[in-house]
Amino acid sequence: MLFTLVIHAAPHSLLGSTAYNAYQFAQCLLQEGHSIHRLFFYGEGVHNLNAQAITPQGEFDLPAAWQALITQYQLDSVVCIAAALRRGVLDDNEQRRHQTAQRALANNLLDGSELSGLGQLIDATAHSDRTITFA
Amino acid sequence: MEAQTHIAQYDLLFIFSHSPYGSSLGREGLEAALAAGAFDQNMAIIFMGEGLWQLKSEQDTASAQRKNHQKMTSALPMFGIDALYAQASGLDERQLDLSDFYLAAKPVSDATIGVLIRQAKQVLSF
Repeated sequence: MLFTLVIHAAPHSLLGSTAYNAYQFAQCLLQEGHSIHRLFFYGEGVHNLNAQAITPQGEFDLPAAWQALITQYQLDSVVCIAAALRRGVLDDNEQRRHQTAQRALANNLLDGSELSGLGQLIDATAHSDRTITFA
Repeated sequence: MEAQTHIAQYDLLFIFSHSPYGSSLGREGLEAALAAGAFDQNMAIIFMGEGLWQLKSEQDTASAQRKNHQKMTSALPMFGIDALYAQASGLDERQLDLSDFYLAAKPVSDATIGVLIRQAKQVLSF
């Protein structure tokens, strides 16, 4: 079956465990032979792909785990651009677009994912058998 | 159980169950719904629980220092989104009336909401 996952939860927010559930669900789907049409990170969920998050030793490094899963299975991973910019998750283009002499910005979107618009979410629901929201 | 034949079937059903300004879900749900409208989806929105406040007239957000997104909500019909449902039990609980709203919504029972969800191809909840 073809799935799309919509991830609203951030790793260390009040509902942080939901972000881990999303990852484990994705991992489980792929191991069971299902396919993922798209991962769509929205709202607080954009923090899952922040390359600047440093996970303490001994804790599960969720951003690194997402990146590894995305790379291993060549997943289509999209981050809502408006939600990401508001929360300081920028790719190379956006970092250059918004950086000024007064304001240094980092390019901190993990490799393997891309910033794009909400059309990608609507497209994903139209092309998947199931859409699962983790909020 | 109501007869399912009388209840519309949608490809994409949005559920708004959070207050408009209490979290980012209010605005983000609206933005996603407008995007779906722009893509001409066969869609509907159910406003339930705290989400009913999205439809309330005269939202004033100046003192809360938040950007008012009532204008965005009122754009829904312009994006072809006119299947708007309001949870009847939620209206009662909040002493809200359809006349408090600035958009026309159809009141529906919890049982009908169940059928709408079951019949929808995809559901996105905010």
